[in-house]
Amino acid sequence: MDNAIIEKILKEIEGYEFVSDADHVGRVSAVGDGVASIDGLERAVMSEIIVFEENDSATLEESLERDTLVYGLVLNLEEGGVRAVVLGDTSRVAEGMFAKSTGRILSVPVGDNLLGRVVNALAEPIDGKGEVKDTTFVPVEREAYGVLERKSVDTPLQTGIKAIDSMIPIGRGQRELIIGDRFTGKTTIAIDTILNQKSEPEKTRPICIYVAIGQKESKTARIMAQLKEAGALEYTIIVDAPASAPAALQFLAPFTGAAIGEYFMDKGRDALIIYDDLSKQATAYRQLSLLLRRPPGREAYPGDIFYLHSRLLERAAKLSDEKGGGSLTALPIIETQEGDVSAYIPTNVISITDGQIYLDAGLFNKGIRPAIDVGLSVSRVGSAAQTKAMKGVAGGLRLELAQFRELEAFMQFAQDLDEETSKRIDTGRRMVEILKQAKGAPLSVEMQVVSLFAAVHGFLADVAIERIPQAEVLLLRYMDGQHRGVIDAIRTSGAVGDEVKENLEKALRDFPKAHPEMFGKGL
Amino acid sequence: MEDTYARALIKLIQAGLRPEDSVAKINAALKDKGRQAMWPRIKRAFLMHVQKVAMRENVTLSVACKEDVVDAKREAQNHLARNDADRMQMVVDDSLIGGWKLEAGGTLIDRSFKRQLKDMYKKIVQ
Repeated sequence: MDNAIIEKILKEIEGYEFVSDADHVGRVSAVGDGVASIDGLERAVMSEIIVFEENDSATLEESLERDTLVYGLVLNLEEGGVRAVVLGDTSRVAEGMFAKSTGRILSVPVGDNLLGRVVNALAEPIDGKGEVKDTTFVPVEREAYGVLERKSVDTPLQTGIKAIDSMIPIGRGQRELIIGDRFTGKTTIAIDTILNQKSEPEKTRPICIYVAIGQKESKTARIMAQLKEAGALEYTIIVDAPASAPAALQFLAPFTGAAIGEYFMDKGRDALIIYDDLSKQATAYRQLSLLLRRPPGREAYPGDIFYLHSRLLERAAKLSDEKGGGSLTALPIIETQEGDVSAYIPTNVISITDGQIYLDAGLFNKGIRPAIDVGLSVSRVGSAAQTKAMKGVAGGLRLELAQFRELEAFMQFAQDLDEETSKRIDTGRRMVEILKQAKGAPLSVEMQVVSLFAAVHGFLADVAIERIPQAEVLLLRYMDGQHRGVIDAIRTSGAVGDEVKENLEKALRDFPKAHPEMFGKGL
Repeated sequence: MEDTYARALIKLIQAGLRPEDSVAKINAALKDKGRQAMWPRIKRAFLMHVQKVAMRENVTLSVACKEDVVDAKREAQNHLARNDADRMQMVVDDSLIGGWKLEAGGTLIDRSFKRQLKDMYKKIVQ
């Protein structure tokens, strides 16, 4: 061994002073399924962290070998004892073991250095890139900001998805639920939203937090790789509580994500948090509650399941200027069974959030992607944050699509359709085509405006319906290459003024000349 | 349910009633409700509670070897009330290496060499 190291050790030993405080302890009386019953610990408080003393009867050598501690979280205060969930490997906790009170409420480390990292539900790095430096500890559970500290949503959060940004706009600080059956593209919408933030100026770009709850590790790894490849991981933090993690960690992960998001919001930054998904968190919480012997209610969920989600989602906010003007936008995801939005957890979360994006399995199977059901989707506050340019082009889009869906159903029985109805159906089909968007291909708001403007004002009326996606690509390329000024004007002004409108119409009128092969229905 | 009856039994005894009278009172209550078949379960719950209470009230002083008992007792007594000191039980635990460890009423004071060495190790490693 190096002499310098030996000297350092000797110096440490010479200057060592042992300070022994009395520890407040209890004894584990039973343990199983991630829950430990502890006798004693009368002074423990709710959500306090306790440490299981594994090394009580171990030799010094054995205890030095075990470099990690097993923590527990007090969730039930009972007469003569407490019940705690084990935050780690339950097999390391044994009956008769000491459980020491720490006096600390569950806190996680947060800091700027978390960016680009993958952490577990306790915000400990799990990506093999070493420890996260310069962090401060914040409590996982915190009361949400009050009315006086907030202000109305006024800045848009662009998802880059035409159907959302035009008809179901999301504002920074909003809570918009993404709901739908399995394999309908819920996570895709969330990830595309993260990817789209890349186009935002660095100063106003939201910090993105993706909380994976009860997901397969392979899915999270794929998402991480996708974000990394697109250069989006540098402004993203992944909080991972996989399906293999104990229920306690799956229940905690969203709160950890919220604590990280609040750190950035408190610094005046915008943050976006995705909870993928809260159905699995509810299931984990149900498991914990039943093991903690709390009385079951509807569908065996505990009585406070609504409060679990409401207190979490209430932490999303747009702060007042006095508070720094930061925001935390929440995109919770809920998985439905057979499209049943009236089940217990979906209705709870629908009532908590400021709107929902409903994804329909039928539309998805028809190839309409994103499979957003415009009729059932709504954004209650986002329109206040929508740009004038988008408002202008998307005004009638929603109504037009709703009418089209109605007529489409009717059309299945009708033999002959009058000209007006046929025209409406044709326009509707074009709208559906124009709103289709490939996975991982978010569009900037100005490009969306151009695309929708062309469709709404009939500039693509002579393009065969099946060729609309192709025509759209060419149109955007044409506008970007030959009419950059119009695009820039929409971006900088955020509106389609008279002059811009005139130039845009002129450019769109000239588009068929640039690509005559796309026009003519018979082609 | 049996837990509630067991607790009631303990409370009656703690309130100063003779054990046999306490049992008779509980028995009368059970008879009224036709629940006398619950007695074996109440007995088990009662035993568990008593064990818990006893464990909570135990005062245990652990030492590494018998030679340390006198010194350890003298030092540990400074941390205890007079009643607790009288109930002190001695345990020899050679994993402590030296020093002593006292557990009393949900409080643990660890002055063992093992704890000190671990503490020192942590400090040096960090």
